[in-house]
Amino acid sequence: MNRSTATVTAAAPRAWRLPALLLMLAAWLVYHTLSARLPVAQWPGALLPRADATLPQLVVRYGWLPRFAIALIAGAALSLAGVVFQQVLRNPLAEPLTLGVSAGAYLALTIAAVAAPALAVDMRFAVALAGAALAMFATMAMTWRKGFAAVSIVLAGMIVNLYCGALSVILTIVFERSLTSVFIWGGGSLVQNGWASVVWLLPRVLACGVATALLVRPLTLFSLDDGSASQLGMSLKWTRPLALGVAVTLSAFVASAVGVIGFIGLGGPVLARLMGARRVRDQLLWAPFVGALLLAIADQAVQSLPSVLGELLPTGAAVALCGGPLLLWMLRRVHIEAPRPASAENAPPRRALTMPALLLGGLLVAAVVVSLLFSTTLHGWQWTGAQQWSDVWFWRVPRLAASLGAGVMVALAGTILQRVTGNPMASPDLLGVSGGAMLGMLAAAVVASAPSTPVLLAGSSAGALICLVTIVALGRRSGFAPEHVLLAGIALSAFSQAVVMLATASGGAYANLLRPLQYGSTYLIAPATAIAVGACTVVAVVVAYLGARWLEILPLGANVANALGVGAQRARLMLLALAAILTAGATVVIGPMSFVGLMAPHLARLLGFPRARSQMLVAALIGGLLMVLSDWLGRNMIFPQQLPAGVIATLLGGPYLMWLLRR
Amino acid sequence: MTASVRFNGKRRLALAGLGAAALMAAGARSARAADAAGAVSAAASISGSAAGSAAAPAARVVVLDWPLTEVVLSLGVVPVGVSRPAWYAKLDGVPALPPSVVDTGLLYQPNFEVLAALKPELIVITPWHAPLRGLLERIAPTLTVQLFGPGIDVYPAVHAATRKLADALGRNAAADALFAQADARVADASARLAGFRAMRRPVYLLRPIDDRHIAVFGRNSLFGGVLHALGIDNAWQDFADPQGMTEADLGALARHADAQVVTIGVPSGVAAQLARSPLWGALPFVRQNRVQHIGPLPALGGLVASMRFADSLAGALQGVTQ
Repeated sequence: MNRSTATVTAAAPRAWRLPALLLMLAAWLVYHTLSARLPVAQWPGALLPRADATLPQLVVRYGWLPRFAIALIAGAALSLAGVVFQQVLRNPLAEPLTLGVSAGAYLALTIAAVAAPALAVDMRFAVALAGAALAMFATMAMTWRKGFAAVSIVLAGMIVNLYCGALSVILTIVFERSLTSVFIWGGGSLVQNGWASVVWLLPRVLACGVATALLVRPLTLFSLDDGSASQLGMSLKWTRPLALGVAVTLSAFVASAVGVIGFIGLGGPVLARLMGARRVRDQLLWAPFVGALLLAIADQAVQSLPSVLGELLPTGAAVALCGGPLLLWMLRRVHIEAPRPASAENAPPRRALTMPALLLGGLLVAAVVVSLLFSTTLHGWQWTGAQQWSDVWFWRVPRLAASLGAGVMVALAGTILQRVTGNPMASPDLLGVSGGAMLGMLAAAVVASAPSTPVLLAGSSAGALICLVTIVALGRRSGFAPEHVLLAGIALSAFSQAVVMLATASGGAYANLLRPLQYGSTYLIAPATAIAVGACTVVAVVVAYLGARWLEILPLGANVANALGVGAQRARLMLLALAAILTAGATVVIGPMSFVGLMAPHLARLLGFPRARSQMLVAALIGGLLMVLSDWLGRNMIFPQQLPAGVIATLLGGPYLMWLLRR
Repeated sequence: MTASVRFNGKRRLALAGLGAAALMAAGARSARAADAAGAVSAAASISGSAAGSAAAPAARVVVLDWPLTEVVLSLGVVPVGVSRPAWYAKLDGVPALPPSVVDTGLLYQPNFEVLAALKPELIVITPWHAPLRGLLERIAPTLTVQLFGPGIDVYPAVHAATRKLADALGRNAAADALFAQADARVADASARLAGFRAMRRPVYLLRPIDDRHIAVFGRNSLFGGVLHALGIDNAWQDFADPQGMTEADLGALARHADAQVVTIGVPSGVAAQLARSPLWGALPFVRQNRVQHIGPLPALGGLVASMRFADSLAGALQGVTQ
C-alpha cells in the first residue's frame, strides 16, 4: 500500500494533463462535426424536443446525438470491464474480448442470421446477449474445478474465443452472402437512427457500475496473490466469478448494442494507470472516463473524415486503428511491474520422452498416408489407385507438405514465445507478426489490380519483416521485458486487424479474397512453395534445438541467466527473432492460425513434458499432426467446399484442450 | 470511356423513348473499344493451348462467378460446373441453373480435383481469381472476364463481357439477339417512365441491410447504369465501391430532400424496424410517401438483370407523377 501511495504522489503533478488533453480534443471534434451538420445558432432547436424542428435538426437529434451518447456509454462500460478483468485475472492483457464474450455474441448473431434471419433482425439484443452469456458459462464451467484460478480463466477464455471464432468463420465462408449485417456488427458500427439503443444500454451499464462499486474492496485484494488474499478473509471461490460476471455482463451489453469494439477495454485502463491511477478505486473511477472520451474521440474523428472513408470505416476498426499506434507510443513510458505470481497450476508428472514421441511420430505417418490416398471425389469416398495418383498428386502433396511444415513451425514459435515471455497467452499472432504478414498481403492485393501468388507472397513477407523489425526495435528499449514485447505485439496486431477488418467490412472483392487467407488456408500452395516451407522447417527445428538451453534458463529470470553465463538480453532477442521468422514463414503460406501456436505447447506441457527440449519436440509433432489432419478434413468434410486448415485445427483441438483443462 | 456514355441533362430529355436504346448501343460499343484499348482485363485473352478454341468453341465450360454464370446462361450455354450453384439461386439469378450443373466449391477456393475431373474446355474467371490462374491453366484454358473494378462502370462492362464471352463460346448470334432484346426492353421501360422523367426528380436506389444501415447504389453500379440509360438522375453522387454500392447512414440520405426512393429487396423484418425509426420517419421522402419497393434482384448481373431492373423500376415509378 505504501508503495502505491508513493507512486500516486509522484505522478500527481502530471495526472491532470492527459484527461484535460483528451477532453479538449473531444470538445474540439464535437464542435467540428456538429457545426458541419448544423449552424451553431440552430443547435438549441436540435437539442430541445420541439415539434417544429427542421430536417438537419432532426438528423442531429436522432442521428448525431444518440451516436455521441452511445459512444460515451459504450466506451465507459468497456473500459470499466477492462479494469475488472485485469484486476481479477492479474493479467494486463485481459480485456472484454479475451474471455470470448464478443466471440460468443458474434457467433450467436451469425447463427441467427443464417438460421432465422427475422429473429436476427427483431431480437438482435437478445440473441447477442444469449451468445455472450453462453460463452461466459463455457469459460466458467472449464475453470470451476480449479477454483477459477487466474491462469485457467485466461486460457479457457482464449479457447472459447478461438472456438467461437472458428465456427463463425466456417459459417461466414459457407453463407457469406447472407451475412452482410453481421459483418457490419463485427466491425463495431456506432451508427444510430433514434434513441432506442441509448435508452436500452444506459440503465444496464449504470446498474453494472453500481455493482462494481460495491465490489471495490474485494477487487483491491486481488492485487495480492491467492494465498494472501484468502488469509485476509476473502473467499476467492465466490468473489472472482462475481466480479467477472459483472464485467462480462457489462461487455455483453455493449457487444449486443453496438458490436465488437476492441482495444477500449485494454487502452482505457492502461491510459488511466499512466495518468497515475494506481489504486483500484482510482482506476475504477478514471478508466471509464478515459474510455468514454477515447471512444467518443475515435467516433467523432471517423465522422469528420471525408465521406469516402467516413462511411466505410466502422468505428470499432477505427478505434483499433488509432489505438494500436497510441499504445505503441505509450509503451515507451509505461512501467509495467514484474508479473505478479499467479497461483501455480498443478504440474502434471514428467514422463519419459521416447514412447510418446514414437507414438506421435507413428500417428503422423499414418495421417500423411491417409491424407494423400483417401478422399472424397465426385463419386463419393475413394482410395486413390495408382492410376489416379498421377492426376491428383499435384493437388495433394504440396499442400500436405506445407501444412505439416507450417504446423511444426508455428508450434515451435508458440513454445518459444510462451517460454520467453512466461505468459500463457503468448502466441505468434500476439507477437503481431501474423498481422503484419496479413497487412502486407492486403497492400499487395490492393496495389496490384490483378494480384498473383508471387505478388501476395512478396507482400506478406515484407509485412512480416517490417513488423518483426518494429517489435525488435521497441523491445530493445525495455531490454526485451516480456510484457513490453507482448503489449507491443498486441498493439501491432490490433492495428493490422483493424486494417484488414476495414478491407473486409467494406465488402467487395478484396474481402472475399482476404477472408480465406486470414484464417489459414493451405489452398494456393505450388510445389516450389512447399519445398521452401519444408527447407525452412528443417532449419527451424535445428536452430530451435540449439536454443533449447536458453529456453530452459530464461524463465528462471534475468539474474539467474546472467549468473549462468547466458546474456539474458541477447538470448531473448535471438529467440524472439527466431519465433518471429518461424511465424512469418508459416503465415506467408497458410495464414495466422492462432490455435496451433497457442495450444500445441500447452498440450505438450499438459501431457507431461515441461522441459524445453522435450516440450518443443512434442509440440512440433502435435502441431504437424494437427495441421495434416486439419488439411485433410478441410478438403473432405463438406466436399466440394474446402475449409481453412487453421479453422479445422481449432475445432479439432479445442474440445480436447477443454477436457484437459477441466481434469 | 465514360464520356460518350454520360450525357447532360438537356440531351437526356431529348432522348426519351427509343433514343435511349440507340444510346445504350453506343455505350456498349465505346465500352468494348475501351476494353480492347487495354483496360485492366485486357489480359483476358484465352491462354495457352486455347489459341485454337476461338475456331472450335468450347462446349464444356466451368464458370467461377455468379454474375458471369448469368451471362453464360443467357447466351444459351449451360456450364458443366459452377461455384456453389445454390448461391446463384439465392442471389435471385435468372435464367435458372439446371440441377445437373456440378458444384465446384467455394467462389475463390474452387476444388481443383473436382475441376480436373470435369475435364472442362474453358474456365471463366474474374480478375479476383488471378492468384488461381496459374493452377487453373493446368486444367483448362482460362478466360478472365471483368464486370467490376476500380474506375470501371458496371453497366458498360456488362456489355463488353457479354460480347467477349459470346466470342469465346461461339455464340455471337445469341449475343446479337440478347443485345437487341435488352435495347428494346430498356426502350420500353424508358417510354413508361416518360411521365416520371418529366419531373426531373433524382432517385435513391437503396437496399436496407438492417435497421441502422442502408446500402445505396452509386452511379457506377449496374442499376445506376440502367437508371442513367433511362434518363433519370441518381440522387447518390458520392463514392461507391467497385461493385457500385456503399453503406450510407440515414443522415447522409437527408442531403437530397426532393429525392424519390426505390428500395430493392428489403430483408424480412427490416421494413418494420425502419418504420419504427424516428430518423427514417423524419426523412422527407418518407414523410411525403415517395418510397417505392421492388423485389429482390442481383446487385451484379448481366443484361438479363439489367432488363429485369428496368422493368421493375418502370413498374414502380410509372404511376408516380407528383
